[in-house]
Amino acid sequence: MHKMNIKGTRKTAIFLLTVALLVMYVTGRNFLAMRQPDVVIPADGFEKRMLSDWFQGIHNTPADTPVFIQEGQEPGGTVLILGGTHPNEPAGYIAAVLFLERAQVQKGRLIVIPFANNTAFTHNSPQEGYPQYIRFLLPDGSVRTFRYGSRDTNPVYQWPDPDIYVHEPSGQRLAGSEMRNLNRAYPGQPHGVITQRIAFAILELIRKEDIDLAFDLHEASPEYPVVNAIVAHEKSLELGAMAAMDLEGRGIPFRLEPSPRNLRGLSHREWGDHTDVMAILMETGNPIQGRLRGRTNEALALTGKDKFYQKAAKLGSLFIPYEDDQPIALRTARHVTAIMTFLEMLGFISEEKSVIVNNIPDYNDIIDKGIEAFLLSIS
Amino acid sequence: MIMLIYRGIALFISLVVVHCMFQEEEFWKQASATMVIIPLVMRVLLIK
Repeated sequence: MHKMNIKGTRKTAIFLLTVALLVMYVTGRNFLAMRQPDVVIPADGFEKRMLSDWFQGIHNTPADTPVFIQEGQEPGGTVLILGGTHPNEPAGYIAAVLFLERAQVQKGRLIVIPFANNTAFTHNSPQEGYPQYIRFLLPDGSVRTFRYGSRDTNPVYQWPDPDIYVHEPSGQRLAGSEMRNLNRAYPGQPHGVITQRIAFAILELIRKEDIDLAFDLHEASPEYPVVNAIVAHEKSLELGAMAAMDLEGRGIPFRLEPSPRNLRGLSHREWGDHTDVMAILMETGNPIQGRLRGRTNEALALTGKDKFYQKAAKLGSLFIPYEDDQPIALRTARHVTAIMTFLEMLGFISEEKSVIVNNIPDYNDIIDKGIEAFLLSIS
Repeated sequence: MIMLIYRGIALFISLVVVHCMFQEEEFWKQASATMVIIPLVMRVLLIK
C-alpha cells in the first residue's frame, strides 16, 4: 500500500503532541470516572463503617471500603456477606447489594461488604473487551449503575507484579499477576502489598466481630467445573450439605465442593483455617467470563445470552444448565436464595447462633421481576 | 519505592520519545511515537 510521504517537522511534532494530549484528556477522564464509588442505599438499621476500622493499615488508601452492619432486636449469631472480591463477577456484588438495600434483621447481626476489593472496581481487565458499567432500569424510570471492574487489584495501586507470586505463609507458587487477586491473598499480611492488607483487614473483621458464618460470592465461566457450586471449609461442610440438599429439593441444584487443603490463599480455605468462622464460597455461571464467548458487552453481562455458549451447551461441554441465556437475575437469585437457606440451616444447627433476616425477595420473585424490581431508586 | 523507580523509568522514556519526535524527519514515525507516548504518560500520572 502506498504511504503518503509527509515530512516531519517541529510543527508536525507539536501538532501530534497536541493530539496526544487530547486523547489522554478524553481517555483519562474515562478511566478516572471508574474511581467514583457506586451509589448504594442501605436499608433502615444499617450502620456504615469502613474496613480500616478493623485494620488501620488500609486507612486513607483506595483499598478502604464500606462495611454495613445491622443488628436485630433479638440476640443471635453474626453473618458476613462479601461481594466484589472479583468485580468482574457482578452477581456476587449485586446479591450483596440486594441484602444491603432490603434486609430487615430480626435476630442476630448481618454484616455486608458489597465491594470487597474496592481498587479492583476502578479498572477493567486489559484485552477482554469488558463493559465499564452495568445498568438496571428501575420501574420509576431511574437507572442504577454499577461498575464492572477487574478480577485483580488496579496495578496503579500495586505494581509491578513479580514473575512468580509466592503466597505467604504457605509458600505456594502462582503466576505473578495472582498477587493482585484478593482471593489468593488470604490470610493476608499486615505489612504486605495492598491486596494482602485488604485480606488481612477482612480476617481482622472476622476475628474481632466473632463472625459465625461468612459468604464470599463469586461467578465463574460455564465451562469451569466449579460453577453453580458451594465450596465449604471442613467447619462448614455439614451446614453446606444441609443447605445443598434443601436447595436441591427446591429445584435449585448446587454442587457441594470441599475446600481443597492444598489450594492456599482462598477465602473458603484461609478464613476457616485462621478463624472460627464457617467459611462458604459460592459460584454462579457467567458466560461473559468464559473463553468461548462471542460479542462481549453490557448485554452479555446482564443476559448471559451467547450463541457460542448455546452451541457449547448442545455439545454437553458446560457445567451449568444453559438453554438460551443465563441472566443476572437468575445468577443473583441463586446467591440470595442459597444464603437464605444457609441462614435457615444455621438456626437448625445452633439456636443461639441463628440469624433471621426478613424482606429478602424469594428465588422466583427475583427471576420473574428482575433485579431492577428490588433495587432502590436513587432519584 | 519500586513504584517510584518504575514511574521514573516511564517518565524518562516518555521524554526520550518526545525528544526523538522533534528530531524525526518522517511524519509517520512521529505519529508512531505519539502512540507510544500516550500509555507511558498515563502510567506516569497513575491514571491507567
